[in-house]
Amino acid sequence: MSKLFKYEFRKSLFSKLIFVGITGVMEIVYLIGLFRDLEDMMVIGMLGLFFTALAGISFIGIESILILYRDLTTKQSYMLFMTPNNSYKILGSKALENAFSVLLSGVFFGGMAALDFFLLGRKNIQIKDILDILTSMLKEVDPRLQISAPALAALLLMILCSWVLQITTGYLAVVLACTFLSGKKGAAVISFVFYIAISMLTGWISKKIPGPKEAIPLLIFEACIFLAWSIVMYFITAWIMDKKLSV
Amino acid sequence: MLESREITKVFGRKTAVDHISLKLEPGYIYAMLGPNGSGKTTWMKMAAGLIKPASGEMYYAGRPLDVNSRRDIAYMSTEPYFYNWMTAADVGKYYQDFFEDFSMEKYHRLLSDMELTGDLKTRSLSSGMMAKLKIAVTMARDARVIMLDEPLNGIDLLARDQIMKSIVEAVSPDRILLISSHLVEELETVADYAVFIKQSHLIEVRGLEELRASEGISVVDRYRRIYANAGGENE
Repeated sequence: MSKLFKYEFRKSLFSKLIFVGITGVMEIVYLIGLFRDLEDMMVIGMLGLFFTALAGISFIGIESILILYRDLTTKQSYMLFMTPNNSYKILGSKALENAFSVLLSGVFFGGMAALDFFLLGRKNIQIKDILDILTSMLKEVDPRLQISAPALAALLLMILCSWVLQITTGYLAVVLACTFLSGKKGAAVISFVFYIAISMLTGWISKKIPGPKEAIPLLIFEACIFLAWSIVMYFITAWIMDKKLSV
Repeated sequence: MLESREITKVFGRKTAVDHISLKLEPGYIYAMLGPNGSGKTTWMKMAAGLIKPASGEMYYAGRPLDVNSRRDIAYMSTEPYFYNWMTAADVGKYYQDFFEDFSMEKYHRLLSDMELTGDLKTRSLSSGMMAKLKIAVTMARDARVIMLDEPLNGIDLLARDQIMKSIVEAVSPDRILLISSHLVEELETVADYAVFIKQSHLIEVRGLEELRASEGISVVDRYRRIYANAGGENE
């Protein structure tokens, strides 16, 4: 599976490098602004970094679904399905690579943010405002959350698992389009509607499950629910691939 | 042994392969013959595990075909299928990563014979060069079953000789070689058996020697008799 993982990572390497490049440019803009006391440049750099992080992490997930679609609908599918790897391994390597890439991106962008805040503090600029912004962002998620390392970690875990669920649901929609709906009119639209319906259904069922009252345990509980749904999606998708998929 | 039992594949309203039962034994080269759309490629893809049959089953070594069968079955598709970012060297590494029977040494030798180098980008290869690369990487496997779908398509005369040589060199008592081609004359020189497929049905499997001895005709003559005024439409 490690070999499949390696090649999955390679497939999206180019786009990852583009985001690293944009981040580098934005970081330079930010640092020039910071050390030359050019406030406008600093703000442009900060905003650039924020939106690059947001777009980068979102794109990594979406690209994974697009790669699966390409891997199932073009002749490149032979590269996967000629090898002695079953559908569970093939799909599993894709899901794991995506979760790893999203996590790695989170660590990368989080590390950059920490470094930039640290440099901001070294320049004796008040970072209280920034902390206030972060706290208000946390309170948007849950009013009981205070800014702390465990709260941030739990929040990031919940976001990661929620994103993995979106991706695995996307995989299911793609595989349905390439199996049961293959060659049928409106297959793409039907599979997209299916994706929306499944996302709403999993969200609705998840909300019905009683969880802990405290903020951090609740975030961890939600992460576990998302992860459980992701595993269900993964097994359904791999089973359909195993039984029905022709490439 | 590679065997299909009453295997059928339907695409929409078209039946590409219709109840074909066929046994291929090790130690022989089989030429799979038939016009475009007769069902050759679909049969091969089912044998490679790429396409799932609508009914019937494919067997390898007496057991239903499964993921593990792919360890022993090498299939070369007629279409290019390598990832765009790959060089010829990357293609070799990929096969080495996934197939235990792949020989990097043999791959380099075949690349050299085909006048290809490892640094060539697959996305910039001409169709002839791509065909040579597919042959080199497939034949570098020591697989029990080697299936080549139209290996001579787009290949110049000299490279064609090289490919035919590598096919003959691959003959072994425990290996099945199955080759499809429109170039019937080329295959006549190497094949032991001809598998005639017409309009998604298996017509017959004939030994080439037996054909010459019993009917005094070549495989080309037989081909003309079977396919005159007919074609495939379903592949």
